[in-house]
Amino acid sequence: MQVSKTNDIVDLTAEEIEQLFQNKTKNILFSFEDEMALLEKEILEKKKQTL
Amino acid sequence: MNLEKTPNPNEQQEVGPTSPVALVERMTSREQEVENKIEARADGVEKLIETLPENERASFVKKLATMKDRANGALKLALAGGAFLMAMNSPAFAQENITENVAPDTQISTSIETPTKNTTESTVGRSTLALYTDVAKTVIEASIENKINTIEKDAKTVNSDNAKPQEKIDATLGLASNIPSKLLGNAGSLLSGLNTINDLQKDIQDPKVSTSDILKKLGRVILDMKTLGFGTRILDFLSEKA
Repeated sequence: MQVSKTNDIVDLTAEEIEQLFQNKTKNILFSFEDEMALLEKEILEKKKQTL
Repeated sequence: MNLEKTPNPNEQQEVGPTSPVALVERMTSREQEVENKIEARADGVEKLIETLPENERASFVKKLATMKDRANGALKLALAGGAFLMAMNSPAFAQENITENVAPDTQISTSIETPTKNTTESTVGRSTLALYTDVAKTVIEASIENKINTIEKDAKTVNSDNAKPQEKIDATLGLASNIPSKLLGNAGSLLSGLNTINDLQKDIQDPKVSTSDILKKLGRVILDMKTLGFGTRILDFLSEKA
């Protein structure tokens, strides 16, 4: 998305703002999923050690 | 009536699918949907933690809670940031328009089902002003909280016996640049903005205060926030990966 930023004047349409928000929520979800996958791996390793 | 007028995409309508209220409703619904997914995923991990011996669970429970809080915090900030960008881009808050573009109090509508008005003039009503006031407050509070957290984190690192020398140097530099320039430099403007917003929230509930007075006060806060670089920072936050 081409966004003009001149002296902090951010010129976006409502649709562009909504798109930015949608992308951000997707990214938050992907990052959380990555973190959960790593955490699960750690938990499983710990489980193996404690068996 | 000029029903064939081509809508200007840069013009924010008070009603209709591109109105601030409709947009924020859609963003709120998406935020809720993502929050539910986060909750469901975290529940699954919590069940896995429960399969560990009891004495091994605490650190994982803490990690999971931190990750969940971070994701939910980012979601809330994304919602407030998106809505705040709308406010910043609203023609109603353009410096030269602060005294114009006010919908008469009697014509305010909160319904997105109301037919789109057929005027070329951009108007803004009390419900939209209430929305923008709330998001401006969220954005300012998040900014103050973020600054305080950064300073606290750096202060802990400087005083920590376990921190490496380079970490202590970085934290000291962080403190040196954050406290005077970012915290003290902007604190006055941020706190004054927050103060105005608290007053505005009362004004919005008071029918004796006119919409044009609210718009003027809020317009000034938004212009100040623009000057402080909030537009760019929110845009950077929304554009970065997570």
